[in-house]
Amino acid sequence: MKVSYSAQLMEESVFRHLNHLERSGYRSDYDEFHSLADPIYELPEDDREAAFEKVNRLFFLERLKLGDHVLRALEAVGLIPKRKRTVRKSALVQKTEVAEIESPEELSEEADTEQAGAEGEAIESEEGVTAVAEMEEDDDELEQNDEVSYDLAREFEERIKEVVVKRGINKVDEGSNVLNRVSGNPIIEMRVLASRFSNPEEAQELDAFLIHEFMHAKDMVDPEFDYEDAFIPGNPSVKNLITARFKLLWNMYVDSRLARMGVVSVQPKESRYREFDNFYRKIPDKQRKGIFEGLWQTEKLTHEELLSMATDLDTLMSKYVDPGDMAEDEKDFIHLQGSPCPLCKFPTYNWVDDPESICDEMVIEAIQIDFPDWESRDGGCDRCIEVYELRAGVG
Amino acid sequence: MPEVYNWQLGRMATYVYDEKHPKEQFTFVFNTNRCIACQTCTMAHKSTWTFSKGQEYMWWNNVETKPYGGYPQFWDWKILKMLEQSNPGQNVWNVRKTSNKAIHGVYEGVTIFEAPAKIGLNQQAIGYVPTDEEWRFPNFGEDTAHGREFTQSREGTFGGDNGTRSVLPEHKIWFFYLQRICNHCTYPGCLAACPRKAIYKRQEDGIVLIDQSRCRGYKKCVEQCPYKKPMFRGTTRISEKCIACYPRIEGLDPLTEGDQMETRCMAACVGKIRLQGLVKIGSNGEWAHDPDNPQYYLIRDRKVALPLYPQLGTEPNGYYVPSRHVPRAYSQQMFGPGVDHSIDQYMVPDRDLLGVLQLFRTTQRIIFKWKREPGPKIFETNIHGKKFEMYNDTVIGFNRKGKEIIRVTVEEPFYVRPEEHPGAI
Repeated sequence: MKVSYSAQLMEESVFRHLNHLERSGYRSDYDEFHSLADPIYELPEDDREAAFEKVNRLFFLERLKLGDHVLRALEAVGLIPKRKRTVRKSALVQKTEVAEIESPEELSEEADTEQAGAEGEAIESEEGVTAVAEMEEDDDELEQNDEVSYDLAREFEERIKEVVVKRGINKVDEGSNVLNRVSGNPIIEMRVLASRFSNPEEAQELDAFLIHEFMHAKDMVDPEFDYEDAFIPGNPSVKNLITARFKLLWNMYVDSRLARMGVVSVQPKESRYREFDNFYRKIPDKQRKGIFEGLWQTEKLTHEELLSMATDLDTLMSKYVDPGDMAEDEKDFIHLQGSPCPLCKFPTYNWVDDPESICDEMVIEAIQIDFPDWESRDGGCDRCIEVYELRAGVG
Repeated sequence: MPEVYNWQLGRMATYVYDEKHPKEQFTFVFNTNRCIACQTCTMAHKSTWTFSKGQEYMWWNNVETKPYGGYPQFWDWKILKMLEQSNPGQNVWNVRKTSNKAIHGVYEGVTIFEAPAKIGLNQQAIGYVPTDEEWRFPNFGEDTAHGREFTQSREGTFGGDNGTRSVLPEHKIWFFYLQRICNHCTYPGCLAACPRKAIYKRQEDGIVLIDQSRCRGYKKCVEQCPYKKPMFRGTTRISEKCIACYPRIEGLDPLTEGDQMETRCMAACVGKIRLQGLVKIGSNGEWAHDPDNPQYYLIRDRKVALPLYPQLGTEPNGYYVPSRHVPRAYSQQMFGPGVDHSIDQYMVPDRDLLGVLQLFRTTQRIIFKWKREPGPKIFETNIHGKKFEMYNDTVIGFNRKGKEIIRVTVEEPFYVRPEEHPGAI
């Protein structure tokens, strides 16, 4: 597996990181960078681009070790086996770490790496345009933590052709994707904001983001997850709703596994619950909590199962709610946010759950003239109820 | 650090370099009451200077809607917040200390150059480098008003709180357009920040320029200009900024046969909101008393035109007539404590002020001197309880040599089409 970084990402990340160090009073890397970069302006214009890329690559990979965030994230999710590598921590980070009390997890992670006071090992780069970090194979230095997970990680490492890390344009653009998945030579593409590399004291957020996204990518190349590009039938608002639920459920699946591995992800469990709560607010409290806990504890899910649960509430509930806990007809009358109103058929987030309890009898009768099979328990959107109130002459 | 005199703050202030002044200073006045955000000024500069590779995102001139717009996004909110955080609750004006040397009172807070010492930051000024996202969408927030929702009162009228209508001239629901170019400050943040000393202020006209051969792309100018007008060009890895169309200022455009010209963005203004000029600086570094110069008249004499965020401490040379309808507190934060006086003057202008206002965009040539010839009275009314009388005076503008370059009346002339050609233009 190759890990490569786009020139734009390296340039912007190096600039922001060095800028932060300089503003914090740590000038040595900043001065060194400019001692190498400033003379490039004297070169002919056509020669400058390659020269700048070389300097940026040097600082991104070797001086500032910014590429290590990506490698550590790949190791954390099991896409590559853990390996020892030299670490050069900036003076700013060292100063911060001395002030903090290290947790046992940090101590065990640090045991995997060698802290070097001098420069880190140079990583051979093969290509002139983008930086390439070849994974060093040194059997004597391999971390022998678990034979099974090591073998699995090696399998992924060998199957995936390349990991390409690019600069994200904005927060929405950030994320991971797998290209050439069907052809059998998958390439993981990761887009990340360069500003995430600015502050070494906020590295945990960067690491959490990378780990979370690489876990998604891993699922996409994992035959057990069985990812497939799916066609979601229905009008655009239905598609959007199902896609949003699917994203939430997949994010939960990723974060729950990371939590069990003891790895920090982008959102903690409580935060995911609030998100889940928002989508499935209409499910009674007890069942809703039970579904969330059930999902969170599930060790294995497939793409099809996630999509099926996102599409159909029944599938979700039958998997995690005991049949005795809720009557069938109770389930039928759960009005999820974004579900279509039975009267106008438009998706609605403003439900009137039981109009009979708040409206005049004439309103119910007016609805049933147009919809003979409709019952109050079916509910309706607030706009439809208002229309029928007017028609009934009580609005 | 050296101390320099900042007339907008009414006191000595910290700056990186010793006090020095050009012979003349490039200044401009924007009347925000007249702007319609047609963006002709923006396109004028774009088609003249920033149409090349690497400059696609650059808008040396931009027009943003306040309060929600900004280019880059939230630029003023961010710098004001940084200033406040460095000196919480203390960045205030003392208007009791108004004097000849402190015409708007004294600013008793910290400037961007004084703030680093307060917070132990080893930089020339506080600031930040905007992200790519912040540079995007220069029209973000355009035409988005601030204010409470209209509510219908029991009487069926619409208004703000509890159906109360706005008390004019302030509106309860408001926005306005803020036009911005480089202010060519007297104490530029960009110049102070550059570790290569690649930025300089021209002796002849105070225009601030980046030496393209010296710049090495450190982006300190981008970081420490509070107005965010230096911009980094990714293709050349060199920073660029508004150059005040200095060839035109020098009179090199053949169109005017040697007469000094206003910039492209000024000349293109459809709404006639802009007037640009050059003010003389005396040997003591202060503006030479010159009320015949329309710039001096509007800025120092009548104090109708106010600096943009003077509290930042760079002594910007771009001045604004505040919008009448905007809540005063907002305008005061933006233009300083002179807002009430400015709007009082502008709302009910006397003959001289009304005359000078007619000169805006009558010519591309820089007006160095103006004069008013009296005309007949043509109109009278009351504006917010004050009597307003309008005379059809003639206002004349002169170039540097004293030659008349424009003549205009207060009232636009009517042309009556002759009866024998009713359909003709």
